[in-house]
Amino acid sequence: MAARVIDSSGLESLLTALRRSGYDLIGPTVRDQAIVYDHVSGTDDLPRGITDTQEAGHYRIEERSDESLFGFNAGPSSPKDHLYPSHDELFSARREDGRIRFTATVHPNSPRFAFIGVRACELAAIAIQDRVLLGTEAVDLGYSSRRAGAFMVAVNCVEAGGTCFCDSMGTGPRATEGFDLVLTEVTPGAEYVIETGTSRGAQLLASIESLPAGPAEEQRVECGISNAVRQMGRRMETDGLQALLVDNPEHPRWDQVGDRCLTCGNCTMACPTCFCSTTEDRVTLDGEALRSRRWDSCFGLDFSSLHGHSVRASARSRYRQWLTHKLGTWHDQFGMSGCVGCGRCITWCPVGIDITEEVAAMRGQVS
Amino acid sequence: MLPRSFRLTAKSQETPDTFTLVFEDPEHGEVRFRPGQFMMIYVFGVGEVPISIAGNPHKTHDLILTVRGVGAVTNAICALDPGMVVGARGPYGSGWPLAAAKGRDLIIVTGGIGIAPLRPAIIETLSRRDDFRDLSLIYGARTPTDLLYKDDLLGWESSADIDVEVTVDRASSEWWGDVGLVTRLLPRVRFNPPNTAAFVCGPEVMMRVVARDLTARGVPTQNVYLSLERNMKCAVGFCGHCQFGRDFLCRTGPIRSFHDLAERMRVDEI
Amino acid sequence: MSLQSLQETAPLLTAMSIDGIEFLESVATEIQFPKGALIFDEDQTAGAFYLIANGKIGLEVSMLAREAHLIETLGPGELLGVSWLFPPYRWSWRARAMVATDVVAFDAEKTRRQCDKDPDFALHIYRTVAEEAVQRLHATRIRVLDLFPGSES
Repeated sequence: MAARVIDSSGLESLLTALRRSGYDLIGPTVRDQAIVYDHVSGTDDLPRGITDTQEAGHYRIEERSDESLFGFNAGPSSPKDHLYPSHDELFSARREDGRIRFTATVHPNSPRFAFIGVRACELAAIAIQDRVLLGTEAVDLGYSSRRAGAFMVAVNCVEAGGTCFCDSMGTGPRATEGFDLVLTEVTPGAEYVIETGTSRGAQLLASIESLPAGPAEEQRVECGISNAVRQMGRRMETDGLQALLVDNPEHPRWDQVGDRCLTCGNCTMACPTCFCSTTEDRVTLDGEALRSRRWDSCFGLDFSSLHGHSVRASARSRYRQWLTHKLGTWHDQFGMSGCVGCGRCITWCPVGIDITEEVAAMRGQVS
Repeated sequence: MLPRSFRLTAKSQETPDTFTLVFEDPEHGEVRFRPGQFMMIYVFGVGEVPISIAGNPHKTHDLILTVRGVGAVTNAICALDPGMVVGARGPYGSGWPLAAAKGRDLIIVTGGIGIAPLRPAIIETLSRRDDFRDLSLIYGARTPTDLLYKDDLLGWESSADIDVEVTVDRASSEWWGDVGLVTRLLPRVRFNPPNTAAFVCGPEVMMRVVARDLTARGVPTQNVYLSLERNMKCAVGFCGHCQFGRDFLCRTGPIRSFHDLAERMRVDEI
Repeated sequence: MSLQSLQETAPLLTAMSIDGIEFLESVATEIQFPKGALIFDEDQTAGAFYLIANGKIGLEVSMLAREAHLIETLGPGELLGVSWLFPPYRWSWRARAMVATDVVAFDAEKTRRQCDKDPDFALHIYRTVAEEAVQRLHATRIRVLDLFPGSES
């Protein structure tokens, strides 16, 4: 289906139609002075006229001079927070008739999410998590059920933030796959070019009022995306990166970054692809045992504990593990990089460690 | 991912802190496994740990585990009484590559509780002894009291099918076996290095020393297999805890060739 | 006596010159120790060194009131005794046959004198003894790490 144009009431109709189809809308909204993914009911909940400024260790929201609904970049949360939540029940167990009866936590009623305003880098991150969690030998049931039901309304970035580098990672700023519908905000807060990625997206689009997009609108989409490419605050050189990291475990840069890293794990929490987890077991007062999964971080000392000591005791080794996995051994395991260039780890690092700078330093391009 | 319920049917004390436990699942029956694979054992409300299967691979009705009580979950397992139940899921992981040892001399070198994942491999090799040439077991422990499977050892020692060398780090003059590092016993067993496979399991430092010694004697690095140990939560490649370079050891390990591991094993805190 | 049967298993004899073998044969004596026999004891003069043909020898340290503690065991082909080569030529440990054991004993003083006369022979002796000592040192260092879990002896 060719590109169409909708106005702000068309966008409202789109969200209403999704809600009426039973979707739980998850979109960007302002909370705690940040733009996060949360439940939204309509365009009024979107961050109208709000943008963010991002730098290493720096994030602020501020007012824009226009009414743009999507005039900001990746915030501290990502669709991961809803598709692969930080805490998820795995099973319950009861002692019955001389045995333990295990019951897998089922997710039949788990909400069908419609994600609004998902960026290209985030779609790429979801594709990575699909590869990890929907494997051939094992499937994360919770992720699988939430993922299967999800509807994706993507947004092409027409502006890029200070820590963005999706262009050099080949994941954006244009959304190319993994969406049902994709919007480009061609007139801030007023006019959106909308394209379809799936038949259900097309079906939904057909149910709301839209006009055909002409060459002028399509031109403005291209301009917007080119603008975002020009604005990329960072870039990462990916050629030979896998070998560079894997072959240099004793590079002096690891000591240097290890001295700065607080091992707080913020980068892994904010990262849309980090998937590590641990398990928790507890027993309720009525004798039921529950097992749940909770996000974990390779920056934690406990993460690698073995017989009372940690394999990775130093900050240096934990940072090295994270970066070498993310950009190196991830390829061996999943046939792709674990980084989508969203810049969250740079923005949310309390000491401003910059993944692109670390890579450049490993290459000898930074003193 | 969901455990099955297993009932403890028998329990024997191997050493002051180590027990061998026999479980069965009357509802679903056997657990088929390859020697070297492990199970995730769940203690009601306490937690889950990976434990190597120590039983006979041909007697799959019984799930046999040897467990040393060192943490909350393993202590809870060791404290079980017959009739009590646990959850178990698996088996997981790569087994010992018996096919790679076929037609060769096979040396099994173990230390401490590292003999547990090798017990099924020893039983299996003895059950088809003609597939292998010279077969030897070198087993090291801290003291004679700490030796596991003493009955098995006596049986194997009296068999002409396998050369058994047992050594400890410290002993009184009562001890009939050897005292010294496992590698000191390598000259005592018969093997033709270029046509030898080795299965090694024990503390990582011991495995490094053994692997280096074997390869220095001419055993190809591709034929030396080690079983690594790392923290493990899920056993299906989701939790990330068992990562060792490019491997999640639960999926592509824990047994890998020294050829594949040597470079990574030189990196501290990898 | 002939050392031919030991030449395959004992590193001290492999690659030794024919002259060297002939000399060692001239100072060699075969000895059979029954199980439990004391071969040498701490602080005695190290008048000989031994190659083990069969059996097993334990190096012990006396623990006074307690039974002796085994430090290391030696088996076929292995060299028993290093102290004979270095002043003050006294044994550091006690050596006892743990089973019936056949050894070949070599006169230490004559061997030392031969080393003074024949640099090639001396090089071979010192080199193989040093290699053996280094291997034992490495193994001892690993044991110092106390890698295996378990109880006290």
